[in-house]
Amino acid sequence: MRDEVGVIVPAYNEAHQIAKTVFDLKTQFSVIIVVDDGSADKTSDEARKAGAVVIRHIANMGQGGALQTGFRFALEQTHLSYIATFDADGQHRVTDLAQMHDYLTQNPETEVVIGSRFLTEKSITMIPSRRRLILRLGTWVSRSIHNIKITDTHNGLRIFKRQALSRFELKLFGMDHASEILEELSKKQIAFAEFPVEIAYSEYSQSKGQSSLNAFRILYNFFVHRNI
Amino acid sequence: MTFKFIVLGLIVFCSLAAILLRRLRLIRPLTAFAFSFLIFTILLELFFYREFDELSLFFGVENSADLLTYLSIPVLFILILKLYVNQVLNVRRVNRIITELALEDARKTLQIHRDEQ
Repeated sequence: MRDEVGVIVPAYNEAHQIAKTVFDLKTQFSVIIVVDDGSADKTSDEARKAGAVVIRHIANMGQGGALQTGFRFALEQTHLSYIATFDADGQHRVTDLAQMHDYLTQNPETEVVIGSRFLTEKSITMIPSRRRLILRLGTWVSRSIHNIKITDTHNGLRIFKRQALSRFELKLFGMDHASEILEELSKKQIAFAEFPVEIAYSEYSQSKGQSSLNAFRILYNFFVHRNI
Repeated sequence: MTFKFIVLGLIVFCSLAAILLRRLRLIRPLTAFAFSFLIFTILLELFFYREFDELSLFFGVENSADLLTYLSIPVLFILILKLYVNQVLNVRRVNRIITELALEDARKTLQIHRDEQ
């Protein structure tokens, strides 16, 4: 059991899936923090029953907002050495996160490990073609803007060392937080590495996931809201 | 000519709306002042258009209505931008309050849990 890792799971209307996600995480990690982002269903109850620490927003703020709340809670209320993020819809594998943690402990110079779907041929073929195109475009944009070598910009599977996370200054509340995290990595020169992960695109996760057209909104929000 | 009057009508409408919004304390005084300035210029244009035409020649524009239209575009742009920025900042403030409430609640729950242990 990895007691020094806290896993933050932002969740919005995930009552059907959250218990399974928490149970899966509990096989490897002892501290699971579910941030219920103003769900209208029983996400909080299900997560609590499954054994997670639950933080509940009274209104929906967006995934970035949920992560910010989770990060603050982890930094202020716990002494965890590593803080990870994990999507609630069950598309990530717990084994990938465990391996990312191993990588981080074995490489002291690395401060953040980000999952990538574009490092192995197998994981690339698992991505639906339209989404693959949008992600590639997003990656190209991110690489150009942030001057950062990255292959997957919007992967929800990440693990941070506590000291590194405390240096982040995040202010975007929507899905654009992923670009903001990359910007912070680049601006503050935080050493990071990418790790090959697989995403299970189930019917459920695709129905819960972002529309491809949302990429343009994310881009707009990142450019406009970041500068306000 | 019709277009110019439509633009002028729109500006008058926006200005009156601004005054009303300020009366209801929904916008800041500076924003209301900017709209009032627009109203003042429009009134000048309507009642003293000959003098205003002479003034506009100074800026190299033959017709004062043209000058007013050119001037109003950046002013309106700035005002709309200001409203948009304020809206974004307000959403951010509300989100911060939601975060604080959630964290406070979680802290209390955690404390109760620790006390029980």
